[in-house]
Amino acid sequence: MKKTIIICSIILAVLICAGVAASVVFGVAAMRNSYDVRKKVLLLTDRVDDFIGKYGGEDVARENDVTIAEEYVIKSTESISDAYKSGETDGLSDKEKETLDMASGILDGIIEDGMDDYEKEIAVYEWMTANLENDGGMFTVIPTTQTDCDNPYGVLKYHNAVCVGYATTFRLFMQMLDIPCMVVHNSELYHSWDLVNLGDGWYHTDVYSDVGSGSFAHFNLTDDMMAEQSWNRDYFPAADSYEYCYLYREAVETDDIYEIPAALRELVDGERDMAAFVFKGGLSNSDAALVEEMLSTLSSLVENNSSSDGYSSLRWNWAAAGEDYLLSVNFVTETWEDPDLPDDIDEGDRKKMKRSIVDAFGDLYEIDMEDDDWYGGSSYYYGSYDYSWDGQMVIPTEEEYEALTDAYRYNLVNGDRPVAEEQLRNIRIARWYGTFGGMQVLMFDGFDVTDAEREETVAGSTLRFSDGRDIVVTDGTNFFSLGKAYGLGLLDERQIGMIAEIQNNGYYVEVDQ
Amino acid sequence: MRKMVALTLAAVFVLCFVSCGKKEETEPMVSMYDLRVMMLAADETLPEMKSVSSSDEDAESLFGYLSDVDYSKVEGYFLSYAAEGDSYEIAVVAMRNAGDVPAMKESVEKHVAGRIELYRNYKPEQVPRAEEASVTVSGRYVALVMCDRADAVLEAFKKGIK
Repeated sequence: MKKTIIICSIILAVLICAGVAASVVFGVAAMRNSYDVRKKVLLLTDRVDDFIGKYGGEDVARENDVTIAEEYVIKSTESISDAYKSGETDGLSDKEKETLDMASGILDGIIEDGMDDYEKEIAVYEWMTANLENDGGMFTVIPTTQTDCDNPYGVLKYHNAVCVGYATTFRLFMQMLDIPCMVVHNSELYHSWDLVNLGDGWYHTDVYSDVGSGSFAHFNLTDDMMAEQSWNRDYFPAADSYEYCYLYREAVETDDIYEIPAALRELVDGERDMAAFVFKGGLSNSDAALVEEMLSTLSSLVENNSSSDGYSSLRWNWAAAGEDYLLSVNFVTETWEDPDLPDDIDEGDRKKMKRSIVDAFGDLYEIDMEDDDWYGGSSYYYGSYDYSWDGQMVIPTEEEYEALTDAYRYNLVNGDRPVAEEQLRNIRIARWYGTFGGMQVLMFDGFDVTDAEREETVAGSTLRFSDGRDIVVTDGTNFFSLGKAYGLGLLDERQIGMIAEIQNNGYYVEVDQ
Repeated sequence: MRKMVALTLAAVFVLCFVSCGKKEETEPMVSMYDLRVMMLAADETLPEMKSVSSSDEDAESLFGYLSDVDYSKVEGYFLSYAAEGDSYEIAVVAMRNAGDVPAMKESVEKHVAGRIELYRNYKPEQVPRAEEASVTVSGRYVALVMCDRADAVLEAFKKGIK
């Protein structure tokens, strides 16, 4: 009996030890697995470039059957252009025949006898930029682009295209006109455009980027001018000729940089969309720095004074053309990298530059040499908006806030009865104020009004008190609603618009109390 | 007889130890709809958003716009994105097996890299927000958050999956 118990105990002990050992092994494995997956929050910022390099589409050395933006495929249309040239359409599908008919009809309308290849290319470019629209559906995570937006059939039928659609349609037109043309894609496989050969060499043309503006900003560019993109330069031919580079052909030879503002006045007056200047033999760094400051100042003036349907701002690009320097200025273009310029500018040169701006724009924007406010532009940022005040932004102290509150509460008179105090209880002081044309603009945040009387007429205007933000304009004595201030001419339309936009979007300066 | 009983009890006792060594993930998946509502509500600055999920009829093909992982490994998901194509995107994927989470995380990161590249070419003003996107793993859930109030949305995510 005793022997049996001993044996059983030994067996039991062995089994227990084996079980514990097994538990430890399995438990460690489980913990390790858990640790691997329970990672902290990962921010991609530092890893984006590595990730794109690791997982981005692999660039391919071919023109067709390339997928762009993981969705749109570049397809050959040579069967259509060959059919156009030969007159033989038997081998075409119904869709291709319809494409051919649409494309032929367009060319019949825009190509004239006697046009050379450059003129034909311009005619096609102008038609496409004027008649087609970018398909914004490509930007949603699950694309909502129109069917066939990436090939000439859909582009010509629906006038809606993504970059691949523009590039393949432009190429179709060129090939129908017997002008050599290739569709280029960038190395990241997210954009495509065209390379066209006009006899002396190849040129880049990116119709997609100029649609709507027709500004020629991306028409017949050299490789250097397309440097914002990267592509397989071993496969695609080099574009290093200037003969048909649009910017170079249209540029005005400029010896005197102080003539630039007068030349740009035509842009602002709407007489043309683009101005180009060529500086033969290049430009000194100091002159280039002066031109940069000149354009920045003009751009601010244009932005601050632009009408609702007018130009947004000036955009300019520098490009090297051999030993010469090209400067193009327009209202819709992309900014290329500017040259590395010195910070120091001779004051005499700066004064001369200011004079040239005043001479050209002084009557339009009411600027003069004595007044420095307009020079260089003054901007204050609120959230993501850039507003320029013609006065000065003031951040009130707590005491000033209280004083303003009392002034509003007790001085809301202008020959009429005062507003009852109980209607103005719990007014919180203006969260910001600033000056426009000598008028103080206050924005009040939070009212507690009675239900019975939500409106009160003061000084002939109606100040509507609402739970939320409200704007009041004052000259220090009289208080006016925004509408009344506009009606009385105390604020102009532009100022009203700026204030209203700040109010509507809730951006205002938080007072540091 | 008594020996047999003793040995049997000992064997059972040992087996109990072994079975404690590894715990299976048996918690049921949270409702993707509820989680989506919670997370989107956490950022009131979101623009109009569209959503698809594993409840949709063509869920598998729609999932392909987010990840190239085999859909059979996915228990559920939702994907919300800006209707106008701006860089706002919130998605959660629940994997059937925790062992597949790293691959899912990697594929979502690849998706974000693709979105960044698209914006870089066509809408550069959207790039900064896209570059701040986070891909978070918790248990068998992988969450993508690309918006202005990512912290609040992530907080909602963590609460929602508990």
